[in-house]
Amino acid sequence: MITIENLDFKYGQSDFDLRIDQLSIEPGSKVSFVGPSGLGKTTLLNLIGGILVPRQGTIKIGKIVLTHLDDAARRDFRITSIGFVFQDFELIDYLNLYENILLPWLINSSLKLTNSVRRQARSLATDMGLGDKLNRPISKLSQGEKQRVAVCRALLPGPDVLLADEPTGNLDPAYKQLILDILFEHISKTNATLIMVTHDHSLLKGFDKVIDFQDFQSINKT
Amino acid sequence: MYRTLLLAWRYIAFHKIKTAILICCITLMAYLPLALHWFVDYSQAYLMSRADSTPLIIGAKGSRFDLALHALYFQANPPDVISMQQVDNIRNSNFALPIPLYVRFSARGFPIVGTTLDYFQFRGLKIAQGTQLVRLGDCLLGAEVAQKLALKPGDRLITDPENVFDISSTYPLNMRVAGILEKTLSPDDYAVFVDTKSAWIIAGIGHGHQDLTKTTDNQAVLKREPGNVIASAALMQYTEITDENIDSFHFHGNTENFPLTAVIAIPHDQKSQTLLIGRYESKNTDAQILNPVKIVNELMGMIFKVKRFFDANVVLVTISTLLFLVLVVLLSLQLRRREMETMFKLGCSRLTIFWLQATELAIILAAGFALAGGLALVTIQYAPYLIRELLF
Repeated sequence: MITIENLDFKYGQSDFDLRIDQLSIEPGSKVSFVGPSGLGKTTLLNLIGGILVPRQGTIKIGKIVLTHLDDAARRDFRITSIGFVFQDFELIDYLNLYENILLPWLINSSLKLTNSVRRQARSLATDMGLGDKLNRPISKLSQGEKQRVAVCRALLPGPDVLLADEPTGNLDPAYKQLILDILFEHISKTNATLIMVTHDHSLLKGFDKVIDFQDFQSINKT
Repeated sequence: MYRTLLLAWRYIAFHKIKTAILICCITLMAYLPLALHWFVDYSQAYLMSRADSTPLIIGAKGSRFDLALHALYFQANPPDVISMQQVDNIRNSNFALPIPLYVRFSARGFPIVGTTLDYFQFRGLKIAQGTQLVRLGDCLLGAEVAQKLALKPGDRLITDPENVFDISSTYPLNMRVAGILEKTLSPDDYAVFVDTKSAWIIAGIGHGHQDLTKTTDNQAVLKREPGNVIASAALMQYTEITDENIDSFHFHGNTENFPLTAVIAIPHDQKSQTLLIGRYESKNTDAQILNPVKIVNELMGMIFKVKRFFDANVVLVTISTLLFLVLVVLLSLQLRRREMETMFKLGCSRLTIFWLQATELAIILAAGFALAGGLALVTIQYAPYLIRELLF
């Protein structure tokens, strides 16, 4: 369960102000954030991911009160319990496909890179149809392959929460559905929570809950 | 640590050209001052060791530097000549052992040093192959000369004409290679040694030709007088000294008037040295006496003044290279902002990101300095040869 209470966030001195009195997301549910740009969808993902810290209020994921953790604890929590899928994939060009999937293990020592993890990475890549391209440089992958690598990287640590920021934004319709199917399959297997920001309303039918940020904002701003 | 190294290595290996340029910059930045410093130090030691081992030089008045360079390293244009009388004067004074030098000609580009056997003893030169100078027209080759010209004892070496367009100049002498000297890593390796008499024959002061009193070739005789035969231009002069014609070689004039370009004087003791110097400084003579160490020190002083300009230049180049490196690093950080942000969002600490970049820089710096060190080692290995080749 993700619970947000009395949240208030501002970027420095800017006019932007995100306030959420109460928001609950059930574990294992698939939630979509929709609405025009600039209303705080990505900001809320970053707050749930522990990248940003609210001025006040609490964010609770399972039994962990994220807002009570210090920087290092939030980082460790993020890398072990949160999976990120970014809009532009954000793969590292100087690493090959396999190393990109293992990136969380290469940048944070709280994850131990064991042979079991390596096997899981290869298995996951094979499941995604990337098994024969493990050593391929990122520049030699198609857009769809890159997106699948990004999903593999997010799924490999076995996160409780999967945060996806417009992961299908730059993809062809066929790939959009493929990525969504992969994410949904993972959710059903692991009982993780998926929160996805999207502008594509054709994708919303598979989600348990759709939160329109326009309404959400207006409600909270009044 | 392993993970940071892996990521840093992957980044460096991926950006090969950028990495290669940075490593080259650092290598040159570190190597050039090292090499320059070493070159100057080695050259100084090399030049100074020769001066240190040569007590006094006597030669015609004129440029002190030319005379020192000529007598020590067989370099610079030959100074004006002094006469063999100087050698006799020094010997008769009992102040020093005089060693005459007549260095005016060359053989296939290498200087011909006319001297006496005392020179070989004084410099500690030993025969590696063949024999000492046995007869007129023999020569001893320095080790480098023998190697470069691929000559061995018994071979022939012809002197270079002073001016190929002067048909009235002396004939080149076809010398016999009597022996080859051991390598000494000194200017002696790059010289051809002959007896002073052979050097005078090369200069045309002595020569050998048909016996005019016995020849039946009337064209060779211009005029016959009682007790005197005057030769014509058709007289055949020998250009090679053999056992058969050696007796026909002779000199015209008094030996004491024959030319020398310098004399090395080896005083018997400190007092003799002082007296000999005093004699030359007080006497109204055409000759001058030099202490080679003082002259080479003066020369080195000038070189060090020039080196200071190089040093200043090196400092400026180093500063500009460092600024270039800083610029590259800053631009790289700018370009990698998204990559760093992604890592941070995934759960990488800012400190780890800093260490990642520091490790990349450290690897490049280490590679640059290691390459500079390797080049420095190669330089130390081969530069002495290079310096000798450049100097002589």
